[in-house]
Amino acid sequence: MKQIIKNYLKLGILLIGILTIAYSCQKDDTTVPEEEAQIESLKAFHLTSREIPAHILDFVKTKTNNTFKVNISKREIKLSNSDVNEFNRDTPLGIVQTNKVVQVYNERNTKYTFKVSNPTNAGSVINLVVVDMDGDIIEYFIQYIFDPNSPTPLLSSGAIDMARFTGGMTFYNMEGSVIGNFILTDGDLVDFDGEIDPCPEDEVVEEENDETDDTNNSNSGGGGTQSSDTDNSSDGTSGGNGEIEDPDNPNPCVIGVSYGDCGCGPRGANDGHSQNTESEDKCCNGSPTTFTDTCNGNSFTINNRSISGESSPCDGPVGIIIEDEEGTEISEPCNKIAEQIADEDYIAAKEFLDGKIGEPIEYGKSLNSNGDYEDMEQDPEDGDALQVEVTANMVAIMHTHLDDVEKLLDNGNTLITPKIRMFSPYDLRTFLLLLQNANNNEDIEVSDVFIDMLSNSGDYTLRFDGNINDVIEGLTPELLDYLASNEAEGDYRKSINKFNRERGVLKFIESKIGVNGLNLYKIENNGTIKRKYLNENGKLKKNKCEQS
Amino acid sequence: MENLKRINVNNLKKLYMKQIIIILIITFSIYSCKAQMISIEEANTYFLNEDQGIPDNVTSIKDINNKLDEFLGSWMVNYDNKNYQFMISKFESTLVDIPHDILLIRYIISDENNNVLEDTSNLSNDNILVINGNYFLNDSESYLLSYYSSNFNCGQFGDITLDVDNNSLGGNEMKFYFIPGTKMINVNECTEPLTFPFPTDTFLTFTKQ
Repeated sequence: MKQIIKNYLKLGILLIGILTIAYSCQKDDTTVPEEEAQIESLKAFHLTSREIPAHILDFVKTKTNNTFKVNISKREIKLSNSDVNEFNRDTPLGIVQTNKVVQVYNERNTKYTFKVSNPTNAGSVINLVVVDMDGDIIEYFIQYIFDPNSPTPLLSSGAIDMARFTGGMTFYNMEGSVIGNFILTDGDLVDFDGEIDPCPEDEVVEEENDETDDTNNSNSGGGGTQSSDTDNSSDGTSGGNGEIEDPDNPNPCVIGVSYGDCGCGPRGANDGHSQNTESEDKCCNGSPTTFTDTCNGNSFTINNRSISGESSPCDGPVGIIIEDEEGTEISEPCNKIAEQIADEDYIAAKEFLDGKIGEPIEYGKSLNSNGDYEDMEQDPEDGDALQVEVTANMVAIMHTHLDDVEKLLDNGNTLITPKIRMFSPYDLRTFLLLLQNANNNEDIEVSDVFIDMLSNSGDYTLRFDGNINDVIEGLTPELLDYLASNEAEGDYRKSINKFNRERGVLKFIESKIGVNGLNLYKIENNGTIKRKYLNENGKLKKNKCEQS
Repeated sequence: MENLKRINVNNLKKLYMKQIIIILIITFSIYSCKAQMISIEEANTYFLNEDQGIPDNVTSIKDINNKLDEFLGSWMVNYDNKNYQFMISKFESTLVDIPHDILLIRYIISDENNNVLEDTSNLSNDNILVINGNYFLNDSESYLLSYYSSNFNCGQFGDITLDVDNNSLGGNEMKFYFIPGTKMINVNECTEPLTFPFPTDTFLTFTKQ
């Protein structure tokens, strides 16, 4: 009898175990459906890359030929379909970041906001907004331009406080052209030009003109309800849908765009605004538009501005991803790099090399202790390779890295083979040898040694601010052999594949070289210098260099 | 009486062992399910985005949908009086610290008289001279691999793309393309003209054996 009870007990334990396993597995696979169930009460979400709906990701992939690249120029921002002539420095390429997305629902559409890495301008943030209108998908861009003379207002959480935002907001349409500009000072709108609706005219939805629609639009941020609807509390309701209160996952900030009364007779039927049939002379002249920051409920309102009164399926709150977790630092390498990029000879050398970016072979220049930049020769036996031999008076090296290789296939598609635009193990080896050489040459300061890598993905430079004895002791023949080996290249490739370029090279330095003080800096096109480093958890962080 | 005690102790030990095994199986199963395994197709999204990386919570990248299988087997082509034989297999490699399903290519290159010029067929899976797979390219069909030679230091390395053409001969043809790598070299160590075992700037069409 006891044995039977024991057997039942064992069977029970086994069943509980299986149920636990099943529950665990099921839980991992149902992230999105769980969120779907919350749509009624929660309208804004942070999504991880795994949670982005496949059709949205596929849309971005298709529009960019699977590259996630974005053409960025002064008057145009659009997804890149990788035409060959786009690979030049006049139209540098940003990358759509898919690791964090803000998803915002309203009654008309669902918007997905992606941050776009921007190699051109450290003073702005570009967001890609993909709008899913019941299966019809469009995309457009919003650029947030910070005022360099105003400190970025931050919330206690570290997020940027849009209610105190000073700078510009530029809206782009589906074709990538600028359609509207807003200038704000400490959250107050001081100038406005153009419009904010990226939808083409033929996308405008014909809607029933009834009060239910108007109310819905108001709640979604799509429209106001009364001509006097300019007070912030009301507008806060219009734009605010982020109600997530998980302290570990702060609310995604949402700008709610809402309109006040727009009594334009027949047009009111289309625009999603409340229609004031009794005072048609108002007719969209002076419609109040409100952006609401749902992080703090504050809002700023545009009054007495003539804007397009037409509403469209694109409207409603838009998620923002602008948080910039960079710090600042004042350091000797920062000062040295600032001197370097202001030096006339360096500028001339860089201009020469910039002109070579995009060519199928690498070019380089070396700096000697007399301050002269000399051409590095291509290997006569291998035209693609740059000859380098660290000589006694060599201080620094600058060189280009290649663009992706594009090949037109028989089926008409373009095959893109990515190139790694980051310092290679052999580049790192050369940098260590330059440091060693500087230590042996009293004419060269160790702090003056650098190696530059110029490419269409940005300019990077390595500088050293550690203990030079660590380099001398660490630079063993074994390490030199390893860094020149195919084994190192294989390890490096895996590190780049897994962690991305910046984090990957830093991880490689940390794990394979192990010398502190080998610092990676990115030099933005506008001259901003940022140190990229790994924090104690191995995450990539950046510090903006400030001059002492 | 002594024997009875011994039997009871043995039974008790067996019972404990069974329970421990059951608990271990359950624990292992739960751990396995919690692990964030992603497909190679999903990983491609990260690989192709040069500013991203594989999320830290991903613990393995698997060929869940057998997307690599069309490449497996023995393939041959004759080009410029050389015979190229590829033996392609699937291998669970390690991407820094997580398992990653990739393709490996071992190859034999021989001249028109069947003299073997290069042979990596007997090298172990982790030998760097065995061509290692990376990921699928932007067309989602072409697969990128890395070739490193023993003369890597002088620039003998490069990228390889493979694409099995399913429209012709039912997947029995495979397009091969080799792109030489570029790097800085020490010219004092590299005095010989650089050559590659594969033709450059041309597609080779391999046939499945």
